[in-house]
Amino acid sequence: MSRYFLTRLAVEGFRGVNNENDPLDIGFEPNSVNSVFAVNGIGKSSIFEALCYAIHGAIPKLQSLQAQERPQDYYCNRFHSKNTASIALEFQSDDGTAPISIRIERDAGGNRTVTSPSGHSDPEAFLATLKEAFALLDYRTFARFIEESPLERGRTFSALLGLADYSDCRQALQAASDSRTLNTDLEIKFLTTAIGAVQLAAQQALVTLSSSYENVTGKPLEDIVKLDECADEVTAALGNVELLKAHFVGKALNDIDFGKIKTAIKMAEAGEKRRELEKAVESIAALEALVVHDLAAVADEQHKIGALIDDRDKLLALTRGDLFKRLYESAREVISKDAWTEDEKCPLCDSNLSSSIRGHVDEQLAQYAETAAKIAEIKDMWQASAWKKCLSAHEVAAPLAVEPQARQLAAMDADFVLGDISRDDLAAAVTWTSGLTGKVAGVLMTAQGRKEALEKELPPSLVQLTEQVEYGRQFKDALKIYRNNQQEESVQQSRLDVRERWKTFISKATTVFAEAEGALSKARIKGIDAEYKSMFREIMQVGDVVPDLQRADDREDLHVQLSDFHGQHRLSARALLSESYRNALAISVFLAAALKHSGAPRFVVLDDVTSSFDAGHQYFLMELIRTKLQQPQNTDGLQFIILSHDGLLEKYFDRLGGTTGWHHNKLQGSPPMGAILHQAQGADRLKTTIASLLSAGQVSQAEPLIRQYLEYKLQQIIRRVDIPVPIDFAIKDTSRMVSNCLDAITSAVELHRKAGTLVLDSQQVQDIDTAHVPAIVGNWVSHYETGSGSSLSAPVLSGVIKSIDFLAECFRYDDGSVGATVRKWYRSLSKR
Amino acid sequence: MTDQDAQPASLRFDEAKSFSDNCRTFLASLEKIDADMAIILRDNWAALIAVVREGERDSKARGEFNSKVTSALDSLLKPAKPNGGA
Repeated sequence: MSRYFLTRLAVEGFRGVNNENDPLDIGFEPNSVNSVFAVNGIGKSSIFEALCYAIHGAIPKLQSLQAQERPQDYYCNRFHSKNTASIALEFQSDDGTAPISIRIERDAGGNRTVTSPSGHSDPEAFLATLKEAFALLDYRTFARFIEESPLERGRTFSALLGLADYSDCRQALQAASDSRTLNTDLEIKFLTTAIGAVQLAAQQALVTLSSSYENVTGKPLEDIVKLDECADEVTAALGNVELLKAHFVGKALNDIDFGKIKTAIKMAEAGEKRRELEKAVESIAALEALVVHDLAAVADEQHKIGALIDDRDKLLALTRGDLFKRLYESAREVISKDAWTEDEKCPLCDSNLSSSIRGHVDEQLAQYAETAAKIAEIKDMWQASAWKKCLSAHEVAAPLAVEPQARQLAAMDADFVLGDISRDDLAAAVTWTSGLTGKVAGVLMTAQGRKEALEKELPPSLVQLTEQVEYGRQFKDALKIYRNNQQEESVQQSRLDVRERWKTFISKATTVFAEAEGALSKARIKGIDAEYKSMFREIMQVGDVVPDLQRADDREDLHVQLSDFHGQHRLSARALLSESYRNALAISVFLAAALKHSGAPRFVVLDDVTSSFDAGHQYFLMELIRTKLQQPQNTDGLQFIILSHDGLLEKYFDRLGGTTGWHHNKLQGSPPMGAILHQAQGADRLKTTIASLLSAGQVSQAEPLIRQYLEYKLQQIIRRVDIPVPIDFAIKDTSRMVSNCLDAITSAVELHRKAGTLVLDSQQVQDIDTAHVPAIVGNWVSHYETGSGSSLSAPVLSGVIKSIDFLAECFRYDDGSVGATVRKWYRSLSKR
Repeated sequence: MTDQDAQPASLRFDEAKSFSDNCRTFLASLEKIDADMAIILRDNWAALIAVVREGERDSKARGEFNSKVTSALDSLLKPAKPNGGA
């Protein structure tokens, strides 16, 4: 697979880079460490953000803003007249395949378009291949690595090891096998309840089947497996009655129309009492069916629900209402951001607190969550309860004559669902239920008494006939209900079984995947073990502090320990290491992992990663990168692009810039309104732009560019003829850089003149002393560096540009020693 | 074939293989535990992968995955259509 070096970045109209019609254009060399230096506020971070946006489609800093802060308004440079941004990238492959150029544009509406001038068929997909955890690294990434929880660190690290897909997949399987969500998503609770309901209905039907069978045939129903035979017996018994024979002969129970038979009996001997008898028999059957409800179990459930309500009320008492809940949720949103750094300080009065605000908020929200869980537990228990089924059956049982408007079940259901059920509500519900269940025996006794009375009043043959027919109808209906419920139970049970089978399966699959992922991750960690330990030792120059990464066996947790800390073993790295050590450890781990990676990016961009290092450790890190990690010195190495604002590091960059294996860029300019240019790119373009602005009379726009041009030319002289500068040169007041440079140059010339070693000819020395330096000092330094308010005229400033060009020429000579004459820089102030 | 009592098979991902290839090996290994369920997981693998992207868990995607699994489980219970039926 081809891997890619980043060879060019051109930015216009993005973040701090305005550069309207003149993009900031930086080249990077694959075979060199590339350093980019800029003092604060010159757009270095915008370069890093441009790469983030190009590759990831977003900038983390802006993503963390709240919606009302309108993060989308801050991608494009706010001073660019078209409010559009463009980022051009060029990549060179490491295997000789064609270079790829990608252009990313963002319009004023925030729309992103990605094209490929080089003709790549899917430039967005190409950019997606560059989304590797090691390609763009900043200080925050390293700091977070150590500070994160072991689980978060483990997941971050998976990405770094090239195992992000495995980590995501493991988490997806965990989410898919979570019992609680599975019970909801697969409707397991619903199915369980449905099965319970059909079982109860079947049981009730069975009670009716038993009693009606016995009443028709005169013998008990002993074997419910033989219900078909029982049905035949019921048909045969009723068919033996002379009056009914015609309705039963040759027919199966299912085909018999009991309504028609009843009409026939009514015709034979009509009478109110006979209908009353039928009704009494119906009532007795309905009331006997209610007996199947286990009242002891119902009472037990009522007691348990009462205890849950007490628990919920205790938890509720610890919380402070909905308004506070919203306040805590909002607070958590604020304090979970990286900007929240002082967790033990009052944000209002700045006084120190005795405990963590984050801890307090988490604790309060946990109490709300616990309360919500208890409410859910009460609801679930009610929904699946025998009590609910019992009450439902009693309220609709016709013999108990509960008027629809008097029924309580619907209101109770609503209270349970909303979690509003109180102890008093519960007591009322218990009383209501007990009232109904207690009424059954009395009503049954009354119905039985009435039946007996009617049997005595009516002619025995007709009484028996009416009863027999009613029992026959009950048997037929109950048989149908029983069979339907059995079938329904079978269907629902199959659905439940197959879901339980899935639950078992997905849980096992998750275990298999997690173990395999863990083993792979451990192998990768082992693969970089020696490398990161060696890098850490080299950066920090210590041998008796040895870090150690330990991946947990059964979780994604990654622990950072010290296997050796000045002779002590297995200690917490987070607790013991200072910030610089922690960052060195994170850098070592990231770079060791990056070296092992085989993803598409073969470049690493480091943005201000040495902020916590002193000069010595910065040096050791840079040397490590230069001598051991950068390709091609390391054949498996990477291309490094280092962005820094550190003045001490700039000295190092200046020393190595232009040497083999090191490519240095320095940014100058006046963002966010003006342009940013890097020195190598800028001089000629700057001069052209200045000339055009001055000729148009736009003096104030030309002034910052003139300053850039002066600084560039003076620093060019310093570099070319090797003029020594003071140790604090780079970190002195940058607004006085022109005079700092002039001081260094004139002092060095004076020193060599007095020592008699100056190589410049006498005319050059005279021009420096009497013409060019005085012109620059008089027309620039003394005017602009002293904060004078007014601008000089365009002709005067054009003269300054000429003076600096003439001054630079004083450090060059015509070399005719090898054929044609060539204009060259002196090697130093004392050598050609 | 189903052996729900089987202990999870030990599996090793091959460092030299891509994530997709290792996933294929993983799915194949699950057939020993429950072939029917392994087919359902394989058929809905893309929906499962969508549940967590770049470390971010998407509960809507999880719901969609479980909904697809539920439909597949119900289909498993439907009797096969007889051959030649109208």
